[in-house]
This record gives sequence, structure tokens and C-alpha cells, in this order.
Amino acid sequence: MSNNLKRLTFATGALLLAVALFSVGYILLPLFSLIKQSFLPDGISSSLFSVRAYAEILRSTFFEAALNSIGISLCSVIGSAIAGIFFAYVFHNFDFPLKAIFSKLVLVPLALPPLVGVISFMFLIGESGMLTRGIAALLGIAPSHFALQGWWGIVAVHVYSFYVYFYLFTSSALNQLSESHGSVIDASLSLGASRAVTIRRIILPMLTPSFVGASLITFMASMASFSAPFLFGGTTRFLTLEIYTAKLNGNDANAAAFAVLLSMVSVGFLLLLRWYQSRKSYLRVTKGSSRRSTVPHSAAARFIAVAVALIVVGLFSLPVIAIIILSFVKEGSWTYQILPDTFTAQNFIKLFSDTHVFEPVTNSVEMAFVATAIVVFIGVCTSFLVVRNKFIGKRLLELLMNVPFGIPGTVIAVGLILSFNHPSFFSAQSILVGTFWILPLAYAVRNLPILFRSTASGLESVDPSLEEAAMTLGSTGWRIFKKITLPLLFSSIVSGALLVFINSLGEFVSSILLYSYNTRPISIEILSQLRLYNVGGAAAYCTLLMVLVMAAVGISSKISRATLAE
Amino acid sequence: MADLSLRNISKSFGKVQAVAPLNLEIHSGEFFSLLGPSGCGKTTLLRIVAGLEQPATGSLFLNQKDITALPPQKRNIGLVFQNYALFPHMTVFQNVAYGLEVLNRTKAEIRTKVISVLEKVQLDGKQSVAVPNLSGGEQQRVALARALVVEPQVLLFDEPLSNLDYALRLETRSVIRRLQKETGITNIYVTHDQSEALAISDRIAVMNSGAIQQIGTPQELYFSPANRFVASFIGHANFFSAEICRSCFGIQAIGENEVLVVLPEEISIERQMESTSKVESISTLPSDGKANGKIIDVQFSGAVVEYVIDFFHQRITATCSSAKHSGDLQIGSEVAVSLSGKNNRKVSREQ
Repeated sequence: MSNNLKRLTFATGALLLAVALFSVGYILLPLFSLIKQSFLPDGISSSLFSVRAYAEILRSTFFEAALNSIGISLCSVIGSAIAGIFFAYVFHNFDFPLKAIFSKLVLVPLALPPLVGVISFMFLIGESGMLTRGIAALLGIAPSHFALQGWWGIVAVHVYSFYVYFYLFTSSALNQLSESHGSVIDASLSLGASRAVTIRRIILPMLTPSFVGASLITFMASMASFSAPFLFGGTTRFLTLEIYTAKLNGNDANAAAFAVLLSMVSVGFLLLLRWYQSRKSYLRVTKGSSRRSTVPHSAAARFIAVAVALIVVGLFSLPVIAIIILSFVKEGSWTYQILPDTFTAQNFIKLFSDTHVFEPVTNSVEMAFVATAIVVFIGVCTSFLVVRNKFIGKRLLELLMNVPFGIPGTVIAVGLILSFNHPSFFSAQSILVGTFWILPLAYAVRNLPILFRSTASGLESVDPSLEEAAMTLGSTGWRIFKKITLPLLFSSIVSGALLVFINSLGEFVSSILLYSYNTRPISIEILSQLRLYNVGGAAAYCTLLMVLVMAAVGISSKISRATLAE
Repeated sequence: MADLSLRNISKSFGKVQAVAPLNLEIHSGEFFSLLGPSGCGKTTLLRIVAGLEQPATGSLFLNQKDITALPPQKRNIGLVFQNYALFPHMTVFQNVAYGLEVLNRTKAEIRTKVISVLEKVQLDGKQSVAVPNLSGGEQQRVALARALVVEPQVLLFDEPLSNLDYALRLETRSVIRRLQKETGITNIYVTHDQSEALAISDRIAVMNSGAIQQIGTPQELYFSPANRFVASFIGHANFFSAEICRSCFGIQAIGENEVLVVLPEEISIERQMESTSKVESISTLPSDGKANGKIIDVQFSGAVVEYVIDFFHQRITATCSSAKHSGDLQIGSEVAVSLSGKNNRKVSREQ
């Protein structure tokens, strides 16, 4: 039926008002403040419109930083593509022992908070990393000749963190290809085409849309990346770092101008991505046999491909192992040795017994809870309004919900600071900067698109006739929502909420601009421990973070499996 | 027991008029069908009765009471959906019990009623099965039980059998018919399958392009179609112009703006052995009540055989019982076409 969308009732109207206020106050207004600030001379409030900030950054460091950011991002895309596509191909086409375990290991970087990933790389392949020292001792050359640092260190971290996009996009495309188009591969082979020709002329063209999608997401993520350049970048300039530096130097106008320019690039790519995804894709789910159809390979090629893949996947779990080893290192004991040699459980004992040391964990958990609660309320309400109702401004609301996905965390943080460093209607006339609330607010804004998308697509798959059936059986609005709609959406809401919780728990990018001593989250404390050369303490926080993330992932998959079983 | 009256009901979606203003009286305890091709407005009309759509004009009366403004929850009208709309997160029992829980019935009463209705639809023993694990026919009967258990005054069906295979369709439609006779509930049944509608209904409204074409018993619609659409949709009838009637069959009583309605089983054909000289134009025919055609397709479907005949550049169909089928009538055979039966049904030339 063409007309299942409902008009707003009084109750849904009230929800719409709440959602609209949130998205205007905390998504639109911060962006507006940012633009406004970038045109103010010297950041001192004045009615004069000025392009001074833009002129200044364009004259000084903008092009250098932009070139570095773009260059890093291109390299990250290429590296991620090679790794991700290779793994997806090997895992799809070959069977080998312990495949189930290895296919989980491939996804490890996904569960690693970005900051933890960067730190583990520092201690693994940085100038004084374990791997670097080991190789140096083995070959007898100085680490500085080959240690990954600066530019290439960042690329390595990015490839490690982002290849998963290519892996996931490619393997789901390959699965679809062999499930619904298996005969296409068979047809090509039966027409006498060689394996190489089949890959080049049939498989690759059909996978292109997935490659493009993954490339755009990787590019956006690399442009927005802050942790890796911050810890690995040395003196090299990057756009995200320039925003941070300008803000720290008190030059709000320049920070805002950098942020506006970076956002324009990012939002441009977001729009490109959405446009590309809206085009026709070759892959369609069709009925038919789900027989797996693959291209045949020789035994030697098979062996080499599997061996290389397994070795690399094994290497990919090294960062996690490194962090766990380091978390048992005694403070100040690891100096010049290849591997630390004095181990102690003291780091964890201190973490759990000293309330002062544990405070960042409490902070992070509290803030992640608040952020998740906000995101669940706003995200569920909005998806319900957008999917099931019709009202003026629906497309705009949908767009606003997606905008934070395209905007770097640094930019969101600066935007919130500029909007709430003075009393505002949206902060109940108080100053939010420096308080507890600004952090969960930033986490919520950054993560809103994740939950909105998963809930909205979940709701779209709930047949409206279920709600109509409940209506003809005498059920009214709230009861239908509680008994029918909500239970059916439950697993997508929970998995979305857990993802938001995980992201908020290890959030670093916007925290570093927003925290104060009393509200410092785990990520900030990890950084200060590193600055105090307390590697063990920092790694203990990292390990705790990983354990919490794993627990959340476990709960999420358990719930979705339980719903599937029902 | 309830009778339903639709007065001047219409509905548009944007510029498209889905239902033109219409009146309909459905009697208490009647099995009433809305029959028509897809997009004819029958489902929209059903949804208006259920309260899921608001009509643009007109009013709806249930037992002489105006229910136009009532929301679906307050109408006590049940609906069985085309895709069943069973709650996938509930068991069979929970699905059927849902409506009773909404009415705040006691646990014991709910239990008795659910068990008894499940027996009626032959699903006893399946209470605790999860809905996705049921077959299509079983899901259909759960949907029926769920709608029946709250004892609605009117029960609506939206193409309930279209997702079932042929044998299940026959079986399920007899269950629906039997339950309707037992309970005496007024049924409104939407379908695009004319044989289903003819078999199951007390009365049928044939719809096309948002308007009712004819209301009547299955026999009335079949033997006395009101217009060309009904004749063609219900009986797959052939239409002969006045000229053909005069020249080929010797029938004079057809006006220039009329066509003669002839059902496929009212056409007799016999093999023409001698190859007569090709007749170029109708006017040169001898008016002996027989004319020649050529078989262009033969379809055997069990009880009957259907012949498609090229008859003066018009495709006509004739059916005869398989028992009378003779092997010498094949594609390409020249046949003499004649009419049997009373042949006195005329409708307007207009579609």
C-alpha cells in the first residue's frame, strides 16, 4: 500500500519537538557557531565580518597540512584495499584448519579503540618498539634506519585499523556474488574463459561498487583521524592536528576556519558516498540455490595464499598481545631491553584498589552510559518518526541525523565548545564547557548516526501490517509499540547501543579538547601515564578497555543470536 | 450478527482516485466478496471498512450506527492479512491470545478460548510452536484463528490465499467457508481469483478502476453479466458484433451498439473436412448459422479442453468436456463454429 505513513498525533508531535530541539541545538547550532567564529576577527566578539582567519591559514600552514592529510589518506586507502581484499578473497575461496578462529582474528582491529591501536603500534614498531628492537638486534643495524615513524607509521596504523572496511565490504559482496550469481562464474568458465579472464572481466567489475564504498569510508576515516597523527606524527602537520593546535593556542577563529575547511572535504565525501550507494548496484539478492561457486586454483597458489594470509593475520593480533604484556611491566623497568623482563600484577592491583587511579574508569563508564541513553532515546524516537510518519522537514531531520558521521570528532568538539562557552538556551543558560555534561554530549552527537541507521533499517524491515493487525485486534498506540514494534526492534537497538557504549568508553578525539581534570576519561589518563613514562599503567588501562569492549561485543552477539533462535 | 452499509464512500491517493463514490449494503451473516483485477480499489475499500484508511467522502454504518470516525481499535472488525501479519516474536498461542489480552480477559478464559479456536482451525497441539516454523497453510490458519477468537462482528479477508499453492488454497478456502457458516459472522472477502470468488461467496461485487461494475450472486454474475468487463472477467466470454451475429449465426436481435455475450462452453465446433473456398468477407456468407474458423491453439486441462480459434480475425475460445474431445481437432484444423444455448445476453459494445 502506498499510504502506510501516519500523520502526527499529539504524542508523536511532542516527540518530534524533542528530537528537533536536540538536532538543532547540538548538531546544527555547533556547526553554525563554527562558521560564525571562523569569520570573526581574532575571535573577539565583534559584528565585523572578516576572512582574516581564512587568509591567515591559507597563507601559512593550510596547504601543507591538507596535502599531508590527503596523501596519508590516499596511502591508507591503497594499503587497506590490498590487505582487506586479499584477506576477503582468501577467506572466501579457500578452506584451511582453524578457519573459524582466524576469521574472528581478522576482525580484531574493529574492537580496538583507536587510541589503544595507536599505542600498541608505538610499542611494537615505533622507534623503541619491541619488534623494532628485535629486528635491530638480529640484523645489527640501528632502529632509526627502518623504524616506522612519522608518515609511514601513521599509514601502518591506518591500514591496521581501516582494512576491516575493505574486508567486510568485499566478503559480503563475494558472498552475495556466489549465492545469487554463482552461475555467472560458472557460465564464464564454461564459455572457455580462463581463471584470470573470469576474475578480470566478471568478478572484479561486479565487485567495483563495494570497493568504491570501502575506499570512500576509509578516506573519510583517515582524513578525520586524530590519534595516529597526534602520537606518531612528530612535527608533520595534519588538518586535524592544526585544529587542535590552533584551539590550544587560543586562536578560536583559525581553529574554526580549519574545521570548516576540513568539514567541507568530509561532508563532500559523505555526499559522494551516499550518491554512489543510491545508484544501481550489480548485486541483487535473488532466489535460487545458495551453492558456493568459486574459481578453481592450483594447489601451490592455494598454499601460498593461505600461508601469507595466516602469517599476516597472526601478526595482526600482535598489538593486542603487546598491550597485554606491557600491562604487566613494572613501572620504570623496561628501558633498553628488547622485551620487558620484570613483570608484576601491581598495575592492575593499583588500578582496582586506588580510587584515584580508578576514577577515569568510573568517569568513562558514567559518561558512556549517559551518552548511550541520549543516543538511544533520540535515535529510536527519530527513526520511529522518520520511518512511520509523515511531516514537513522529514528529509532535513534525516540528513541532520547523518551529518555527524561525516564530520571529524575534532570539529564536533570545537563546535560544541564554541556554542556552549557562553550561556545558551540549549544549555539551560549555563556554561557547559568545563563541566561533566559536555563530554557525553559530544559522544552522543558523534555516535547518533550509528544507532539511527541501525534502528531505522530495522524498523523498515518490520512489516507495517503487523502494527495494523494489532490495531484491528483492539490494541492502541503505546501498547502496540511496547508489545509489537519494540520487541521486534530490540536486537538492532541493543547492538547499536552497545556499539555506541564501546565507542564512548574509549573516545579520545573530542575528549582531549573537552575534558577537565575531574572528568578525565580513560583515554586521557592513558595519555598522561605515557607522558609520565609509566608504560605499564597506561597498558593496564588499555587492557581494561579491551576487556570491557570484548564483554560488550559478547553480550551483543549473544543477544542477536538469542533473537535469531526465537 | 451485523450488517454493514457503505454510503457514498470514496478515496483518493494524491491525484489517483482509488475508489469512486459508491454504495454497498452487506447483509448480516453474508459471505460477501470484492472481486477485481489488481489496482481496482478492492483492498483500499477493505482497509476503509477496517478503519486503516479514512474515506475522502461518505459514511460507514455498522448495524445502523455510524462508525466512520471510529479508529480500528474500537470497530470490532477483524482482518486477515494477505501476508498473515503474524507477530514473529510470539508463539502460536501468544499470537492468538493477543487480542484477548488487549480485552483484559482472565488467564483461564484466554486459555479455553485459544484452545477451542485452534481446534476449529485444526491446529490443536501447535500452541507453543514459534510462528516462523509453521508452513504457509498453518500460518494462514493461525491468522484466521487470531482474527476469529475476539468474536468480531465482521471479518475481513485481504486475498488470504494468494500465497498458498493450489491444493492448499482449495483446502483453506473450505475451512474459511465452513467456519463462516458455523459462526454466522459477516465476511467480506477480497480476491482477484474469479473461480475462488464464485465458489465461496453468497454475493460478489465486481470492481474495476475504483468503481463497482455489478453486484450479484455468483450465478447472476456468470449468466447475466451487466457489462462487457464483468462478462470477460467472470466467464472469459467471447463477444460477437451485430454483423457477425447476423451473417454467421442468423441472429438479428443485436443492435449496432451491442455485442452478444457467448461463454466458451456455449460454442460448438466440428471438423470441416472439405476445404471450402476461402471466405474473404462476412457479407458473402450464407446465413445458415455456421461459419468457418481455424484452430490456433489447443489446451488440455483435465476436465475440459480449450480451443483458441481464429474466427474472422478475432480470437475466440471454445471449451468442451474432455470426454467429448476428439483427436482430429488439432492446431491448424478448419472448424465449423456454431452456437448452442439460448444466446440472448447482450451488453454494450463499450468496454
